[in-house]
Amino acid sequence: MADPDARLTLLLSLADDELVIGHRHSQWTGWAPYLEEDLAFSSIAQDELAHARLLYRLAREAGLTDRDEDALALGREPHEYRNAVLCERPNGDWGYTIARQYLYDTADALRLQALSSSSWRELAEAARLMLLEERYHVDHARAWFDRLANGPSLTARGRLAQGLSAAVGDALGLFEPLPGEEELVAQGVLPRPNEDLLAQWLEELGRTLEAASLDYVLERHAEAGEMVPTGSGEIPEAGEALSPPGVVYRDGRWVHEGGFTGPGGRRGRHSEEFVALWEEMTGLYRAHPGARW
Amino acid sequence: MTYQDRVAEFKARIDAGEKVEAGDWMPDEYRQAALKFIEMHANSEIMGAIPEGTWIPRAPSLKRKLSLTAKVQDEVGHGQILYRVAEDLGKSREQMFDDLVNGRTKFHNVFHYPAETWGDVAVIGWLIDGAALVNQKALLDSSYLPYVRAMRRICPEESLHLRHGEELVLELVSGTKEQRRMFQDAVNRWWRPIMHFFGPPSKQRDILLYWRIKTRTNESLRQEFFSTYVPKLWDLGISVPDPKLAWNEERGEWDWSDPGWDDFWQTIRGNGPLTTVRLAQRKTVWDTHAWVREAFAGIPRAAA
Amino acid sequence: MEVWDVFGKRTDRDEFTWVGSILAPDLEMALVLAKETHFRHKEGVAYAVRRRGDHELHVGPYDHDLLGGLTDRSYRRQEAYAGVGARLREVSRALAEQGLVIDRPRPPVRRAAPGSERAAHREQEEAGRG
Repeated sequence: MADPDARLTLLLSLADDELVIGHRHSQWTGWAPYLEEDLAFSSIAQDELAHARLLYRLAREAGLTDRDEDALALGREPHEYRNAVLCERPNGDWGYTIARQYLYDTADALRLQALSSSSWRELAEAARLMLLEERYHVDHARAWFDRLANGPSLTARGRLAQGLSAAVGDALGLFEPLPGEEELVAQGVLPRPNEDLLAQWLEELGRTLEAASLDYVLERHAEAGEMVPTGSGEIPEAGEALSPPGVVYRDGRWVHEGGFTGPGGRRGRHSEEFVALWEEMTGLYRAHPGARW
Repeated sequence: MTYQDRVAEFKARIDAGEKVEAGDWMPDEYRQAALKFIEMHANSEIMGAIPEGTWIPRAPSLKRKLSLTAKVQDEVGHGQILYRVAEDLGKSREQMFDDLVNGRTKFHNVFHYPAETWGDVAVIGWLIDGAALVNQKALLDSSYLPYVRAMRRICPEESLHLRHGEELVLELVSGTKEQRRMFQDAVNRWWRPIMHFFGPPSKQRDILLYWRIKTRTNESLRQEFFSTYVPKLWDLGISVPDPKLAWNEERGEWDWSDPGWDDFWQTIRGNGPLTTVRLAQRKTVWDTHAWVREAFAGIPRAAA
Repeated sequence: MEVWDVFGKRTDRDEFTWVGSILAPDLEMALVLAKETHFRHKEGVAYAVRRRGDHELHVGPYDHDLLGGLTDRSYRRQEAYAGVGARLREVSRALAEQGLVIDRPRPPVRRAAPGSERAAHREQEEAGRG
């Protein structure tokens, strides 16, 4: 099977996405715009955290690391986290939250679908299990998307559009190629390259947005916030940061143009907001090495 | 039949142990008392989500992050259940939230205090939930049946929380010196608010007791709490900051020190340590998301 | 917003019984929300909602094993805390050996010792009984 480092990177990129977005989602518990939704959204947060846990455990069981789930989730330095920057952005308002959840979970469902035919049997099994729970996330995201996009309230539509504009550039980063990806693909561990997944996701997203007359967000998405090197690891060229491909409308569909340049979340390069998140998330764990809780 | 006759008949039904359904006739005083009590209970559930919720992002392991999120989620769920019961008594949720965030209605004293360390999470999860469960179990006997149904659902979840809280406590008391101190400090800080939680000794004519909306006095509930939890604390080598607290064999009840009630009244009137901050946070989130509620309210009813 | 009554089946053999109610703007949203408001602890194998005042029952679209989650959700149920009572006695014994237990007048133990599994079970049963 593929090189252990590449497999570990793959698992961590999946698990860290789930951990960090689960962390953000869980901060709505007690605060969502209304109670019934509070419960639904908290369950989604827990699903994501549970998926992260499953994947960290898999990394250890497969002998790719000797660190346990907590050492992986809470004991690494910021630059060792492989999550896409999308997941670490602060929650903002409900419009952003729903926009991000929609973009993230449609992307997550797609990649889990691909991974469920991985040549790495344990990963394929985990992906199939997670995919079953993922269906609810997608149903939830679509239900909200439809009501905000096509409901009677212009304010709601505006909030969703604003959220989508702010999130969509970062969302492309979910498909940033992994270090060692070629080998993972060649071995069938990653059955489809990220670029291939990106093309499909973008086309489907484009169709949905077009149907809601919101496709303009693809052209007018916000510039990503400033990227800063985090942790003490080696830092790629100062100023260099992930720049996702462009998005254009061609032959009746939305496609990406060009490739990713510079390092992003998959290579441990995060936004300034991640440092604050990391300090809060890991502080207590790190303050008491070896303690049980 | 005159109003007074109907009231007398209703009171006789209640005294005979009969239960009241949402659609039944009830005296205005009964409806008002039930609504006010259940609304405050509901308010307390969602305000109670805040102190614990501040530790979700800081939970020291994945397992605890999950279990604490689920626990706080359950409290919000209890709020959902109770607000539905209150809504069916004749007040909209919109109005209840509006009254809460603007400080016009109350919530339990213990949710006005900060949760300073992970030790507080353990105290809340075990002792505050334990105190709440003592109260809520007594409500299984309430005369208002929709409230009883809510309690039948809430109590088993609370007893799960209790086990969860107990487990958090056991890890701390059997952990490092620092962890043990974390828990003892938290007990010291929370003891007085917990004593206040059960309320001052019940009045002679307590309207809630009169209508059997609740059936036990504050004092008997506090005594039950002592018997259930104090021996366990002592068995774990955790002291309670009340030198007088001990079982009085002769009287068959616990002796305890009157904690003084000034800051209890201050707190529930809205002058607790974090009352203003928490209500302001709630109000901000409530106000800035009015657009979500408006969007939902405006969705036309589809043909059934 | 409308009131939707929520119904659940404990097992496949049961009929739908009323378990509570929620506020939701329409049917699809009611089905999405009711799944987590009322079935996240594995309270049943199927669920349905009905708009208050209507007659039609709408059954939720999720398989029974999706109610309450497929990946590890034991922390939402008693099974995750089965050993807590025994652990308390164990910790207490260890603390007693270190002379840390506090010995003050306490009520006589009437039934099972406080903190024992039996007492805890009874506590839960009592709590669950109506």
